[in-house]
Amino acid sequence: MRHNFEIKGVRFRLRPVAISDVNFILELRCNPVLSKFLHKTSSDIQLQINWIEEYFNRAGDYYFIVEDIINFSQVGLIALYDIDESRENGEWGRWIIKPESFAAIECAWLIYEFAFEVLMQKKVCCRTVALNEPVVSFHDSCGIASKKVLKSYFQIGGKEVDAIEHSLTSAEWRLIGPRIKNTAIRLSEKLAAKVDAK
Amino acid sequence: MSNQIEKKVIDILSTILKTDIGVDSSKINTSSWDSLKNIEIIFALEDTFGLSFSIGQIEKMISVKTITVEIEKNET
Repeated sequence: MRHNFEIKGVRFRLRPVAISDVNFILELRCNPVLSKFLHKTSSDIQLQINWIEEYFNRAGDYYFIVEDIINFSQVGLIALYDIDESRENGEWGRWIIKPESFAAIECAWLIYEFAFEVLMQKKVCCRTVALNEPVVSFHDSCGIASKKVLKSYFQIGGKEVDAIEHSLTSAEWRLIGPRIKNTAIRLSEKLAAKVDAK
Repeated sequence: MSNQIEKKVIDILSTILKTDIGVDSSKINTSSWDSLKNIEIIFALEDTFGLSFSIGQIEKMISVKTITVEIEKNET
């Protein structure tokens, strides 16, 4: 949906997706390595613009560009969607980060902060293709204990594949969030040192 | 010296990744070695050895062997 939320971290920020981001979105979503575990995206620019326009009208869907605060480069995509107002829960995903970027940790921290501290959700889940071991492990490493297998949940490349669902409540986030935040802050200091050294 | 560093690196990685780690372990062949754990490993190594790694070094530190090499570089 159209929104004006900007979620600022220490090195990266999440800002609303705009039509002008279409080429960057296609660059990531049509990259065969990065999109290996995503639903197939057409490389047709007009189709992607149509998709973004439909997204603008879809309630409870917040799609973001992940941007470097220092050099304004775009480094990834992330979204929080299927926000159910009555049950106060939602899902996050559409997550792609450029492999050379160190944004993943801060990005995960920011999307949970947005869900729990801005939208005041009570529970958020993330569903990952089970074969995508690095990302499944990332969620495990965040300390998310609630985890279950959803059999044949996704259709990827014409095949049904299992998903792993990680769920987190706002109370659990208050326990595990500080560790992720502190890691993101310490990492951002190193990234700042890299800029200073140039 | 190199063997001592390598042993310490393996101990730290085994503790953080909660799995058996050997001299040939790397991000590629260790499923629990994800990007969050990777940074936690780097910070644990910095704290243990009293070092500070650059982003350029961190990008190279993706196996027991390359980690050991980068620690040795910082210590000399």
